[in-house]
Amino acid sequence: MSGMGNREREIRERDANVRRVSRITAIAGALAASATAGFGVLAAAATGHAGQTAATGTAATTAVATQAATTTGDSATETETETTQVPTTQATTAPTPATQDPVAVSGGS
Amino acid sequence: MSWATASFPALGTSAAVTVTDAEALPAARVILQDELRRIDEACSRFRDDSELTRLNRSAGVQFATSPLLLQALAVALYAAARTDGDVDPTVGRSLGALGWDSDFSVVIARRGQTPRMRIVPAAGWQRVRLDRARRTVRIPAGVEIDLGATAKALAADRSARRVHAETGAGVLVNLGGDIALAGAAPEGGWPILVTDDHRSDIGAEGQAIALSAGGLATSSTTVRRWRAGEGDVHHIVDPRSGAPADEVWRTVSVAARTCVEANTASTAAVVRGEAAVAWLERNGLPARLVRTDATTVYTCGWPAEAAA
Repeated sequence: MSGMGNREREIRERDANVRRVSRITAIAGALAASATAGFGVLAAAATGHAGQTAATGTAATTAVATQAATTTGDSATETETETTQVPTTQATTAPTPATQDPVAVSGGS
Repeated sequence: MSWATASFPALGTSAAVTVTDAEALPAARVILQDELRRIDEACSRFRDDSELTRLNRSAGVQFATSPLLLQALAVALYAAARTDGDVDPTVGRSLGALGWDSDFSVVIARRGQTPRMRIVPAAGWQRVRLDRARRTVRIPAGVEIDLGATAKALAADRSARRVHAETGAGVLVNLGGDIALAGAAPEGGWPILVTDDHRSDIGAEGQAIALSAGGLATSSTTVRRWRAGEGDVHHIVDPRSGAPADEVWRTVSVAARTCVEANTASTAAVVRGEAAVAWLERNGLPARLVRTDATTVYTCGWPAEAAA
């Protein structure tokens, strides 16, 4: 009986550890996502993607909304509304070396 | 793949639209002209009849905005929030105090014969009260909004998206070096020269890169300079001090998901100086930063230039 009790206790502790690790992983993931979420928010605000809903990255957008709410006063209302509708996991496309003559010039103005 | 371009002067700089389908060019040109007219009427700091001028004179009273000015203000405030205030729309008085108080051609024509230059810190973007539900904004009396850091890029994004939506063509819109892409790019991406001055010809010194989506912007301390009192000043102001940003970087180019995002980041990078490199890396933004001694730093997969 005592052997069975020890085993049950071990199983419970192991389950608790798994849950703890999962929780920490989720928090770390959300924090990592929120670090890059800001410019996703800005991108959507700029182009008016108001109708789009984030299929992923919800934790990230929430983090950004919370942060903005503490810093922008009345503007926070705006920020919160927008960020709940913005996808944040789209990656920025990096340039590659050109293989043709330029068609446009990007420089200071 | 071939492409066709139309260009014309606008917003005190140059405007160009390039499309992958030549038949779409006439419509693309009309759309771009329409968007630029609308953004100028809403957001110009120098037009007496613009909506922004009326807002800047509203002296603390609740001001009802058009949807476009509301969007431009919201974008400007996001830019301020995301850059911790490096890109702040309340720098209007700071720029005016440095001598940029009229259309830039007028400022240049003065050749230094300006009233004594003063340093005026930005009022602070947190003081702008935007109410989207009521479509109103309130700024304290004496605060002057300048949307120069974001409105041109916003116009590029809006125009590119609209040209693609209405014509189906792949499109590149270039407003004084602020570039927005929409639709399918030519094979290999849109070839673009990145350099100090957007007025350079395509054979000028710089780096030729290709971009398939999103936006690209370049901020430089070498152009849009003017004489003020005894010295030269450039137009990228550090909002905290009200003075032109230290010239750590000659030119910063950033690729991002939109032109607004790219322009916000390139402007913030100039303001941040050396700290910009780590900040761009943290935000996952590919960039090319050229120091005043011409040494270059790249971030997040921006390709290094081949040795000459």
